[in-house]
Amino acid sequence: MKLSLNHNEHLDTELNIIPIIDCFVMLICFLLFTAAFTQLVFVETKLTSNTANAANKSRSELDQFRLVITIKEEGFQLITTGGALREKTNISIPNSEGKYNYQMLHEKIIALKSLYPDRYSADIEVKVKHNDKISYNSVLETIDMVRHLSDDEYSILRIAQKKIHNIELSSPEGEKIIPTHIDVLAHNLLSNEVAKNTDQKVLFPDIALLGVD
Amino acid sequence: MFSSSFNKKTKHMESNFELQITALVDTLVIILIFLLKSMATDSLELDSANNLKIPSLISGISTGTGNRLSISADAISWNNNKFVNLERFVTNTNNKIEWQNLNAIIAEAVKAEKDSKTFTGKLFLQADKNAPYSLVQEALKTAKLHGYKDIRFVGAKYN
Repeated sequence: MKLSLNHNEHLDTELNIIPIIDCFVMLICFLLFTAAFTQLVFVETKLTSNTANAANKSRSELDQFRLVITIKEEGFQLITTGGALREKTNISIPNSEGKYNYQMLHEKIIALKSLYPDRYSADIEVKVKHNDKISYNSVLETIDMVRHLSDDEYSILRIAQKKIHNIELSSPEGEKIIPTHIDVLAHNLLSNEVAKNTDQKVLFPDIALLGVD
Repeated sequence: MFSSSFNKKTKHMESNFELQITALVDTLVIILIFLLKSMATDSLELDSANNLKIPSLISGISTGTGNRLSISADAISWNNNKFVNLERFVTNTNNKIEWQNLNAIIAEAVKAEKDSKTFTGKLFLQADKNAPYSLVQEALKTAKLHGYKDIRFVGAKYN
């Protein structure tokens, strides 16, 4: 390091960044040690006695719209009833290669949310001959698929909504391909007065688990 | 001659070589930002139960406290205390007393919460992903009898 008192001379200094690199390395070690790459989360579900009781329940929404997802041995069944329906739905999602087709269920749920963006409740019912044949994981995964969009789907939904509002997209955003069902959902959520002011990551978060007597 | 050669070898080599550490600093800063972003700042206040494979969830709520019912391959526990012994998720026919003990401890916890006006009717259920639904249903029925109607199913979310 050269220092000079002469104003005409150039001041030649070197910043010593070795200590700050030491700090960074120590901080990274600490963060790696404490970082949680998996996080405990929960999904909340109501317990309802049985289908008949749920139907008679004083949820005013049920008169207007009721979505029941039934888990059967051969797959899922989605039934909608109520006065607010455009048309009644009765969809069967058969198992794919002997396993429940959660992806198909999720896409059908997104399609239903697109049709009824201001509805938030769904009932889940397990109807199998032998309850010990179905695992807890299957029920929880079904709840997870019905309840909300994944983080990736939500980010794509936000991009689709930016496009609708003609907001300029960053280059990685512009490269993302928006699936049709997410695009329709984005349009319908924005066009609904109730839905556009609520959390748009949720699909049918108000879930009741039927048949726990 | 020998002496001059030795002096040549030990002479300090001067060069204008400089280690370029800017790229290293950039990398460290990026790793730091990535780690800070992935670090969980909030968490569920739950002890991890032994011998339990937690199912994965795509999303969920990450804060909360409360009573916990756990179902693992070898036991049903209430707040980490074993009450019903299981053998690969199967209950024995003679463990009626164990279920009664579980009922009693839940009733006690509910009474204490009701007395202190902190009862919310919310219960954390931490079950093994391979647990048969019939067993989970049985445990849920027991919880429901005591007034727990909102069940918080615990899972793991991968960041």
